[in-house]
Amino acid sequence: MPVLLVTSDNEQFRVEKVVAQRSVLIKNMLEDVGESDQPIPLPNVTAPVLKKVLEYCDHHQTDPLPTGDEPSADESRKRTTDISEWDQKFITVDQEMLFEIILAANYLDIKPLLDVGCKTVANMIKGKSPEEIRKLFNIVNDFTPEEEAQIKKENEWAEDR
Amino acid sequence: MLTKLNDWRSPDPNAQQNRVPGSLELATLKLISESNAKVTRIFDEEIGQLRGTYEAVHKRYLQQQLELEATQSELHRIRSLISATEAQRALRESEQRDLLALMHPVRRCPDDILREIFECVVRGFPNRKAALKESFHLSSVCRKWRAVAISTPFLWKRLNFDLRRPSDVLKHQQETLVSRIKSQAAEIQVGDIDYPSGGPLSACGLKMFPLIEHLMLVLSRPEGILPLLRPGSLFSAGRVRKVYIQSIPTPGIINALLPHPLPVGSNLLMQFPGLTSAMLNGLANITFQLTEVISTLTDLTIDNARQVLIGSILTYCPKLDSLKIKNATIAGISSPTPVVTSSLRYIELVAIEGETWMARASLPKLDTLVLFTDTTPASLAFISSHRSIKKLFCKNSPTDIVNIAPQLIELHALPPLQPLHTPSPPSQVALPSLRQLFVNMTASNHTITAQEFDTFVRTRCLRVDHPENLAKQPSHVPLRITFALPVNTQPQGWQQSKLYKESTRSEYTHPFYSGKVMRLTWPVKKT
Repeated sequence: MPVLLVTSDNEQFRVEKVVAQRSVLIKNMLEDVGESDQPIPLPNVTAPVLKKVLEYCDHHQTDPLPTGDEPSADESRKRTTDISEWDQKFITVDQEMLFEIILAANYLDIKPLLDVGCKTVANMIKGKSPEEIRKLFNIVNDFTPEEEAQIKKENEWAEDR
Repeated sequence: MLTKLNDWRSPDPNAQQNRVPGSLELATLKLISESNAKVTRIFDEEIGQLRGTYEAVHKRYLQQQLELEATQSELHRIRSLISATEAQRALRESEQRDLLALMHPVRRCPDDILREIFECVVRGFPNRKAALKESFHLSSVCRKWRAVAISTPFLWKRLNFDLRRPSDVLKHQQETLVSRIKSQAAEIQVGDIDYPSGGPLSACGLKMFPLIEHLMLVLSRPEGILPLLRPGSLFSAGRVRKVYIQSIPTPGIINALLPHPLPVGSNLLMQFPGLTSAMLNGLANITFQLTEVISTLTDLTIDNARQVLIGSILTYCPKLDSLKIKNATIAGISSPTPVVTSSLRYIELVAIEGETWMARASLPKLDTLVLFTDTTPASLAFISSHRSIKKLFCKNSPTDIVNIAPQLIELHALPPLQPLHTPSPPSQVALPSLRQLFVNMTASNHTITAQEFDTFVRTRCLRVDHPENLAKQPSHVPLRITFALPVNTQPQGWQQSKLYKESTRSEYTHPFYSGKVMRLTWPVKKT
């Protein structure tokens, strides 16, 4: 039975239940309301982002669902820094969309998608200096002179000799 | 003519004598005067023309100067305009930057997601130094990132103290990191410990860390062990789980302070009460001996020592599970009765001398024996007397093993394979429990024939319902066979056989072999 999802910009998405249930939030909502054709509102997700998230859920619909009582499996998934070829292609989007996907995955509680997003951002950061990271994400250096002095002192043991 | 006249009148007839010229002279003078007047007129004309030209050019010059001044003024005005526009542009650009920064989705990332991202960044660096550097970079981006980074203990738990740094820097590092790690177990490497360098080592304040999961102490020479042997524990009970002490000699430092073997054992391990795992590597001129009970130790590795008193290890480590001794002489056991250690399940011996201890040790739970050394009658007797051994690595062919260890389920042995498929007596199956066979053919002189391979596979490796199977007993369980081959070797004769070509081959790494090993399996093929 299909499920009707409504985004923050009032667009409707009719998806298979098995696909929608990749989201623990939607799965719990469906379990709470039982069999119903009522649309499920997703006030924190816009249509373009939900479209992308559903593409992920559709591709991974047959993957085993992570369960809350398996912390070791969750840990091992996190521990590997590899991203599968399909996921890598899927997540090759602009920064705006990448972070929107991460935020949506967090809100919808889709842990594997959240992991893919976090790993992708981590790969962008790896090996970069603080100034390069600031440039990458338009971050302003807002340290006080005292904090700058503290960082300089830490630099004496943190950086390579 | 004038010259002539000058000559004639010389030096100055008019100036010096008030003379009256003659008529001829007067006529000449008149001619000269007329000529002069004519030339003067010509000059006047020429000067007039030149003055006219000058006036015209000067007028033009003045006009151009006026134009130049106007152009210069225009240039100046445009330059001012450019500067003003540039200033406005910079202002807009700065505003735009601020706007983009403000709008950037990274700002909307909750702390827990940012924390997740940071952990992913650091997790990708197996090297402690690189991981710490990365954590430091994350904490140096902006105030928000710094707050998240500092409150994420995972970022700071792998750390490296370099004793070449000044003591105050080491102390600052220790104080900073202890406060950030909180209750997380740390993984610490202390580098370049030298003798007698107790000072810098104490500056690291290792005692202040609540729990150290791995402590790696790197000595710049074997004598660096001496500061670690001073009386009094370096740590409180249970603070260090695993310690790894390695001597990596610094070039140019002469190893002159340990002329005699240094007794190391309880004096070192008791520094870390509650220790579960210890590894000593490269200390060379030491005698390892325990004199006190190390009740928590489960794993011990000694690589490169003058002598190891194995009897003391078996006696004083009641929970020892795994023992690895490499590049050392193992002393015999002097005790009149055999030393019994019922916890030990794994022994690995590499390039060792001395095996009289084997006859005096009883290890009823020994499950795995790895002998990277030539097998001798003493070691074969040891294998024979320990029927608990299920996994065996040896440098023998199965010929020596089949009759002394029938209980084996995993065997790593040299060729030939014949004793496993043509047992003696023929009615019995050699090593009937064997499920995994690793054929060690890493040395080029160890090989098998195509017929030997074929017969072995048909007898031991194919399923009972395979048409080529020769072992028709219903109880037959196929054996998994894996070959360890020399690197970059040419295919050998047995690799041309039909059964080899039918097999599914998968390569993987195994800790006992330097190169990859190749497992062969045969797909189900019913008659």
